[in-house]
Amino acid sequence: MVGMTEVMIRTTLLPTDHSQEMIERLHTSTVPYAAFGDSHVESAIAARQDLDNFGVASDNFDTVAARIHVRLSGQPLKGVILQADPELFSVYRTTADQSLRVEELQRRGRPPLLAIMRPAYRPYIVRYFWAMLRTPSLLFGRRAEAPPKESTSVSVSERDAQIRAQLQVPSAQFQDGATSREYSRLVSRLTAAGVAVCMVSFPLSGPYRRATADLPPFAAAYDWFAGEARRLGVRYLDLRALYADSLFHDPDHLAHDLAVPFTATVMKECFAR
Amino acid sequence: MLFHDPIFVFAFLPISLGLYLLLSREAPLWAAMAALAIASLIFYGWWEPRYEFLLIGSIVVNYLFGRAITAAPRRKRLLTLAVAANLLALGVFKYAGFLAEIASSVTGSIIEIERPTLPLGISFFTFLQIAYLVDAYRGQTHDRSFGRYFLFVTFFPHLIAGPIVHHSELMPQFKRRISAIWEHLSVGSVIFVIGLFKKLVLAAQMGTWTDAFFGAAAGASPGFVESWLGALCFAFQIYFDFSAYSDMAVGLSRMFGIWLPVNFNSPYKATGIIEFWRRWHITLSRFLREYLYFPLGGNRKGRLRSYVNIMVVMLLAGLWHGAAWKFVLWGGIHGIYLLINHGWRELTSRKRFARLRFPAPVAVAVTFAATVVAWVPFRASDLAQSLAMLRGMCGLNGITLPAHYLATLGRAGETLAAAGVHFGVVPGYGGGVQLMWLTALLVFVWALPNTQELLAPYHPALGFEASGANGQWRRVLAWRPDPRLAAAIGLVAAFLSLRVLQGRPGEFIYFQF
Repeated sequence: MVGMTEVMIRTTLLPTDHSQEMIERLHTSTVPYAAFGDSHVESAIAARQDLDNFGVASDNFDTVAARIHVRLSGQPLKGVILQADPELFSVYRTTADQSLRVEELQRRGRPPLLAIMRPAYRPYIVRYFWAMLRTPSLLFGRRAEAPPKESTSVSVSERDAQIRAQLQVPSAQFQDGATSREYSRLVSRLTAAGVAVCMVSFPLSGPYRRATADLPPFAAAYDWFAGEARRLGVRYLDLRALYADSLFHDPDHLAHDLAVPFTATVMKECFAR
Repeated sequence: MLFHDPIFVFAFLPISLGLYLLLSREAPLWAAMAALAIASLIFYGWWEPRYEFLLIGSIVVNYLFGRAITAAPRRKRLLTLAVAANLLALGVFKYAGFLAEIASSVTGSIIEIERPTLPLGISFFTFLQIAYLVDAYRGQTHDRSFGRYFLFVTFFPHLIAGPIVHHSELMPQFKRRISAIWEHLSVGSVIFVIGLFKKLVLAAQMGTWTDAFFGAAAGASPGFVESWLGALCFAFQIYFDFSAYSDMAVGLSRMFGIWLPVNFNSPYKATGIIEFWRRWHITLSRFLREYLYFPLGGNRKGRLRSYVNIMVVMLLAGLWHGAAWKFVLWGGIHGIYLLINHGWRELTSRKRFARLRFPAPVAVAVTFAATVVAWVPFRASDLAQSLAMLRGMCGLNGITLPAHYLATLGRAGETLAAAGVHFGVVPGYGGGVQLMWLTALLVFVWALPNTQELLAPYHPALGFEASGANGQWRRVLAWRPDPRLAAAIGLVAAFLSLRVLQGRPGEFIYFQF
């Protein structure tokens, strides 16, 4: 089983894996602007000549902060787009142990000999194995036939939005938690280093906004981001209601083909570029 | 090193086992035992080598005390000194910070003591040796070999988190050369794989959900649903975590041809709290009974005194689990449960109240619910969180169901809403999958035979006597040397090796004690 999973990772995942490149770029990039956050950033921001996208799905704030620290220790940065969404304070994110991801960021150089031991893959070995059982062709380097969904917009149901909101609700008293403290510290550190920070609340579908409208922790989180931006003297963009419902891939992810125009809007509003 | 660490499973275990078996066949017995002792020291020191000195020092001092107690005329004073020395060491490492905290709150001045890292397994090897000293005083220690005493304390399968073995159970086994190697290996490895499955699959999943529920409850007012789900998840997490550890310890030991005592015997099948404590952490209960409850007078000094003794023992049992008020509260709750159980048993033993006795399934359900409630302070991060969860379980924070259930339930949803049920966010709720898991685990702990029962014909552990329960299930599931069964277990083991490599399932809950 271990051997089969190793083969599957090598034939199916490694050929299209850019995580090592991203780590290398974090250490060496000379691009003046960079975006950081989770899948909201990863899918909605399009990298350009003047902008790196270091957003990675399911990153919690510890990992986001670690990426920023690595980038900051390299070539000078002019500006940072920093995600300002409530799920950063949700329990499932704050309790997630992503120390392997952080370890991988800091340890530059040759990855472990066995692909299954790479920090990017190791936490998911069992999932890969089940995926391989369901789709044996993965062993030979073929992905399932499904097209890349992210490029298509779908109709988002109220139910899906409610379930997603249930998962992403910020924890009670997140304002006093380690994540919010770290967030503020990081923004201060960036501004002290002369980096312009732009905090962005990413677009959400109507059903998701309706599902979260009556939930005080979400409102409190957005208020907190706005308040911190004011207090720390950085720009804050609340773009939750920027797009119509038909332009979303799921309750809280923009369809991927909107990444380029959305990035243009963000860069213009944040940095007048 | 943990039993589910890749380094343990893929390197330490095969090397130490191979070496031990080779030496057992080809070299004098002392060489095999010395190899086992050295392996145990490597196992212990892997985490924090400097505590090797503490462990070895404790063994040497206690062995010398034991010899002196056996030989000296004024032995009681020596015994008191020896036990005090052990408790002092335990106190310094485990309770100094807690005592400083109490002193601070009593005196109002800030007393701070730097809390040292708790040496792994100190509570276990201290109790193990106190029992040895008391037995030396009672004239019940006959084997004077230092080598066997050393191995009795350090033998790695029980060193970190029990079972709290008795010297008379283990030391005689070190005099025997291993025989029937293949039976030991097959029975031991099956038990180990069962334990690994419980830890890496069942306890790990429950742990994830427990963290979510309790994490969300911090500083919040959790509702009825999430409080009960959170408490249930933890009840299953600790059950499978400790059951897993006990299985792995027994299985590993058996691979070396050594039997450990049974430590875990389907505690959620208990029909009362008294029975629960005969099934949960059996060797700790035995220690507390023989070396604390009986010396306090047990039930020989009247009913009131026996009830006081029970409370004292349970409060100290709580404190043994950790230097915090929450553990004292947990012990206190169990003490009260035990008193109620004793009172109830006495009442229903009278003829005219006999009809009040619960039918067995009801008694099991009530005992289980009481246990789940008691786990809340054990898991909560502090007293405030415990109280918030307990209020939630009593319904004092209202009842909230996931928002999408309003539409799913249709008219019933509207009726519930009209009755005051709120539809919104239930933090930590994992949907139908979570409910199915919990239901399946309830069936697992209530209906299925346990590891010892499955392997009963092969005498898996010391002190286990198979009951007549689960007869049919046992006939179907019982382990026997059979190629098909071997293949199935091999497949499970191969799958678990993926989980081992995946890493980070967390340490055993009992390791922190």
